[in-house]
Amino acid sequence: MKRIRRNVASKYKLWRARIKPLAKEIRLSLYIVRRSPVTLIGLMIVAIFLFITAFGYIIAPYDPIAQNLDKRFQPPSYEYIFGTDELGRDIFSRVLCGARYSIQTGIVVLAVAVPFGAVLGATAGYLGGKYDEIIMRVTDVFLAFPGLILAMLISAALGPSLQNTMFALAVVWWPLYTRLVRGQALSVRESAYVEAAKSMGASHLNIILHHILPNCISPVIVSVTMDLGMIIIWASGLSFLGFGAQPPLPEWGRMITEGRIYIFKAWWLTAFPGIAILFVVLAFNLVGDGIRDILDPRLRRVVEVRGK
Amino acid sequence: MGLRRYILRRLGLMIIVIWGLITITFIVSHVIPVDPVALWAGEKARMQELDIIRKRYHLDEPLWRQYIYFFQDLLQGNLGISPVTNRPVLQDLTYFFPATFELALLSLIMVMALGILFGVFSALKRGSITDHLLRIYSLTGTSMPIFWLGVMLQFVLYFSLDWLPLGGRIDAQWTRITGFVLLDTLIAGNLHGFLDAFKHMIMPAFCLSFSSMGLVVRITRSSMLEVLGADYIRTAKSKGLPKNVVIYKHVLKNALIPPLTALAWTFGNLLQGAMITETVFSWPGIGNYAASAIYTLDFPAVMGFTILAGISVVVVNLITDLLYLFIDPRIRMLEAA
Repeated sequence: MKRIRRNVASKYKLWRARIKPLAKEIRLSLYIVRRSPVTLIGLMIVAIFLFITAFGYIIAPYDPIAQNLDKRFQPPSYEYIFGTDELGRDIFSRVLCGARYSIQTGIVVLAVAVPFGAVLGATAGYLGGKYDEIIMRVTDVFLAFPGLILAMLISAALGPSLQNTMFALAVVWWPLYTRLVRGQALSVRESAYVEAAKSMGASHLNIILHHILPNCISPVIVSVTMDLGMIIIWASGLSFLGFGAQPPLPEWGRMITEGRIYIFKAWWLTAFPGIAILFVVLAFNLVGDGIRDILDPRLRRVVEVRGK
Repeated sequence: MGLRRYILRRLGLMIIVIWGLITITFIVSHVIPVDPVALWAGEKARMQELDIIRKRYHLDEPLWRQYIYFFQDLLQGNLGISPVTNRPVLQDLTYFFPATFELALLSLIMVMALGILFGVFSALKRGSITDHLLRIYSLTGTSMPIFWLGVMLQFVLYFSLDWLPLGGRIDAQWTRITGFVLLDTLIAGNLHGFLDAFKHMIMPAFCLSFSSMGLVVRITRSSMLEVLGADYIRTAKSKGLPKNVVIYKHVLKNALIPPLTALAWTFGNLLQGAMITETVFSWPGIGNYAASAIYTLDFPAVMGFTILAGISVVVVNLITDLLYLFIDPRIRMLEAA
């Protein structure tokens, strides 16, 4: 019995010793975030946005696609906060419900592009030589493409739909992560722990997955946060040009295109979806900036010294 | 010796990249689930007409042979004939190019000149209200959906205030000499036309430069701050050099290298932005041409535009890299090693 208790106690001690630096890291991160009100504002908007994404359809006061032809082009009022559109649909409800499509596009694109690009980049950086040469030349070709043109080309060739837009944007986005991770991997490759893993007979795959990739992660996190906003802009831009989401889906870019026809009659059709895009993208950029500050070792050291 | 090898290697790589770019465009536009022929011929076309079009574009032959035909034409400087406009693509592109070039050049000048100026100012007056406003602008700039900005500008500046024209390039009469409307009206001594064209250009140029300028302000500011905190600046100051000398001779020289590299990025960004901006303002440039070509699945035109855009991006990238090498001896040493 005693032995078991001692065992538990020692395990707890071990656990505490392991958790302590982590807890300290987290405390320091929170401290840096707290010091920057701009990041906090960004985080708040992102939180609200995520809430709307999850519950948009529930909290929306009206059905986003139900037409009410008696109430066409109602200006913003108490009843319709953002007014109504050419079919009498409530803009506010449509903006709330549209949040889902933006974040969905961003997440799906990154979920495809980041792992793909990161694995290629880590492989190129770690193996070097001809593998590096081949992977990076292919990446160069994709990087040289004006991204919007490639995305439009693919969307047009596959036919306009939200899924095809996601695919097109993923094709455009992966090379950025290949280049980013490769640069990191080049320096990680030279570190002692990779040397140690190699001398213990770890396979290349093992080293790439367990040593190279985890140590390349911090710039990727910053990039992902910023790119989420960027992808939202691009996806809505593609919708604006007629690719991407198709009516009656309340996608923000699409709403701007449709509202544009009536801009001189009813500005609220166009104004509010655009403001929604601007705010959400701005919020992701602010958070990305904040995360960069947290992960930047130079800044960290300064704060740490000052914090003491 | 190292430098020459470096440049040669870059040129070789550039050719590979351009070849890859063309090949990808070819594959995407030829391996598609929709049949563009029916769209090109119109609804009332008979089977024979469709067959004739198919023959003309070699669409009845295997893909690899189409690829060879395409490259043969391309090497002779022939981009094919657009099935929609029935004109050679190269002719269309050269016709629409000056409008885009003019707009992009004005935007590029605005981005680089104002962007760097604002960035330097922001860093020198760190913590002031102007600095805060400029920082907010630079963040908003990169978060702005420019198509929305364009539409809202039209609403405010054209509809509400009636200060600027809605879109297009010029309302007044002008004769096309070089295709650059500002230049042509000046040559003809047409001052009214010149002002009119300039008015037409303000909104699109502002819209096009909005987001790129935000980024240039940001890069310049952070680069300035980094240099201002460097040891050699402290040395220069403690030597008792006048403040202006320190800023012009020591700070700016070192701080302006990163914004210069943003030039290549800005160029690519402007090219893509042109497609959206030109669509919003019905600007008769190649961006607008390409966007409408994509709608009608006019692949010769799309490929022509992609190749042109891709090549210019690659070339500008190479030029900036070489420029970078030229300005900064530290990088020269690094690349040569």
